[in-house]
Amino acid sequence: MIKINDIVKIYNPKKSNEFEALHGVTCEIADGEMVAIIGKSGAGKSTLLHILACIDNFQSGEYYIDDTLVKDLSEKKYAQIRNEKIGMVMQDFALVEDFTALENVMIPLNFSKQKIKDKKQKALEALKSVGIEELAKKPCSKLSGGQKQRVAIARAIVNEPSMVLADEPTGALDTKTSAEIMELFKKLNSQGRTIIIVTHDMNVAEQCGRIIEIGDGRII
Amino acid sequence: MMLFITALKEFKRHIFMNIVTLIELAVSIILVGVITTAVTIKYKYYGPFRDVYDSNGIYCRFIYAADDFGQPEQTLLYGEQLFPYLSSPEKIVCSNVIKSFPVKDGEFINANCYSFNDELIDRYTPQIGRGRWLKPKKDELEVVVTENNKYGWKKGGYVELDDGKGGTIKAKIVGELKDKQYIAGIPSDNDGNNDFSMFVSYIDSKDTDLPMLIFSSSQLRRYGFDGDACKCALIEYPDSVSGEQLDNDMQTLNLLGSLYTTELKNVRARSIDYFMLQLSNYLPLILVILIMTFISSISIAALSARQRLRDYAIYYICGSRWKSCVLVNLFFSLIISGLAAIGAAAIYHYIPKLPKSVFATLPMTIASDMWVAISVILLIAVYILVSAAMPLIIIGRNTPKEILTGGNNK
Ligand SMILES: Nc1ncnc2c1ncn2[C@@H]1O[C@H](COP(=O)(O)OP(=O)(O)OP(=O)(O)O)[C@@H](O)[C@H]1O
Ligand SMILES: [Mg+2]
Repeated sequence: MIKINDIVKIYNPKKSNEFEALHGVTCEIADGEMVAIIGKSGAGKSTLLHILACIDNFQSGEYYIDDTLVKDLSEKKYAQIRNEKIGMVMQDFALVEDFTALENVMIPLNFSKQKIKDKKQKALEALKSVGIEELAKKPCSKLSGGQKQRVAIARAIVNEPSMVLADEPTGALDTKTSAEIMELFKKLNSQGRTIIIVTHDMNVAEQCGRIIEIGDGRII
Repeated sequence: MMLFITALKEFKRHIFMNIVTLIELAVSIILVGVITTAVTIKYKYYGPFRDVYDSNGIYCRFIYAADDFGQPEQTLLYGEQLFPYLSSPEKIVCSNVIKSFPVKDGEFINANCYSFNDELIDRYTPQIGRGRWLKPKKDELEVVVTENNKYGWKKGGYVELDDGKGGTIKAKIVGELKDKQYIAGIPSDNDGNNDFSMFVSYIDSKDTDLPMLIFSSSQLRRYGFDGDACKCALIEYPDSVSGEQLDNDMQTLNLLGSLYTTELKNVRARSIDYFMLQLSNYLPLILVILIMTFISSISIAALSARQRLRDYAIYYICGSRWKSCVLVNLFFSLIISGLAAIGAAAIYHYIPKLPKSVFATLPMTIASDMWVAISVILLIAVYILVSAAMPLIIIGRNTPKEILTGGNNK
């Protein structure tokens, strides 16, 4: 379960271009939920997702993952949370282009604190569960958008995190591929994982169990 | 360990560019080594005697021919025996030439025999192939000989020396002098230079087949031997000595048979001129290489920094610490410099095997001394600093999130 309480995010605090992107956001997402975060462009969706993914800070408020307060932890602890609890799918996939699909999926395993036997096998299984096992040896630069998205998802789930966060996972994909990716998320959700998807596509949002709408830095 | 493996992977990824960097760095290391050697190689004939050159005093060189044609009897004084004739000398660093011959199978044989006083032996060690340099404190009489000499003298053997009184004394051979080297303490006759090189001479078995023997003069004294005469000396005076006294003493030395006499301050001035000249000849080259390494590693680092940073940001999202990414980068630079150093060593090792003509014009030697170490380390430090600091500078301004989302907060 994750819980955020009155989160305020200010970009460039105390500078001339200071900008408050979130003005006190509160919400709770239970384990196993599949949630869509929607809103207009510039509403603060990505900002919120990045905070949830522990790759951005915030000025005030609290963020709990499974009842642990995620604030002012050591860099080491944050890294561990990102590694073990969170699978993040970035908007532009964020793959290492000249790594193969398999190498990309192995990155979180390589940074894991746990001793993982047979990393390769584990990465292959993740690729299999997103249906592109056969592309394992292919460099990511040679993959299509949909295939890249699958690699990104495989990488997000390889460490078996309790939640998977995705920023516009279908934004760059055609309708057919989008549908396939959504099927994949639903499958992952049915296996018990919490899924949080940022989107402005209502079609996508409606396939999720719950919709959170953000407007102008607030939940509406 | 993980970081190191990641760094290794980074190396493999841009293998072509990395190899270019590597070769460039290796060549720079060799060049810097060669140039530093060229600049500093002669310093080891000056440095050990610097305290003496820095003081008031006199350099003198005596001529003494083994067959002794008509030199005044006084020239047959060994270094310390000059003291009573001089006003207030403090110490003397000198070599003496030994007048009597070695004896082999009951016969006199010819060799260039010298004795060095303790001030000289303690300050300076020539290159020894096998064995060691003289230890005047030892009881047994010692000698070093040139390697591969025609009399078959070897480390561990003995040399018999005519004691001038009808008998012989035996000296144990404790070391073999390397052939083809400059030795301090044996004068060259290029007095014209008027610098430290007067006190240094080159030995080469091609020039003479006579072996060189060096004894300790203090040991010889303990054996009651006094058949040696001062060959050349640096005589140090206290600061209080007057110019007049020095002038007088130089006169005296001339009367005693010194062929060339000059004040140490002249020698010091000319030597410093020499080193400054070397430095001004080569320093620009070293600077050019340093700057080239600097620029090329900056540009290569800048080229790859953007991409590397993106990759590190990805690692960050996947659970690496941002700090580790800096470390990966550092390891990466270390791997390159390590390999370049090995490469440089390999290339340097290979150079002598190339046809002579290729490198005939270049003084391709690298001394293994402090100076070379310092300049090579300096070079590598510049490289590591630049290549590892480059992304760091960028990292300092951007968070991984900003790098990945292109978010700008400038
Ligand atoms: N690094 C930043 N510095 C300053 N302002 C920023 C930064 N990142 C985002 N913002 C601003 O914060 C607001 C929210 O941005 P965010 O990226 O969260 O919007 P979004 O809802 O994801 O929009 P989109 O649908 O276009 O992706 C926007 O007005 C944006 O301009
Ligand atoms: Mg967004």
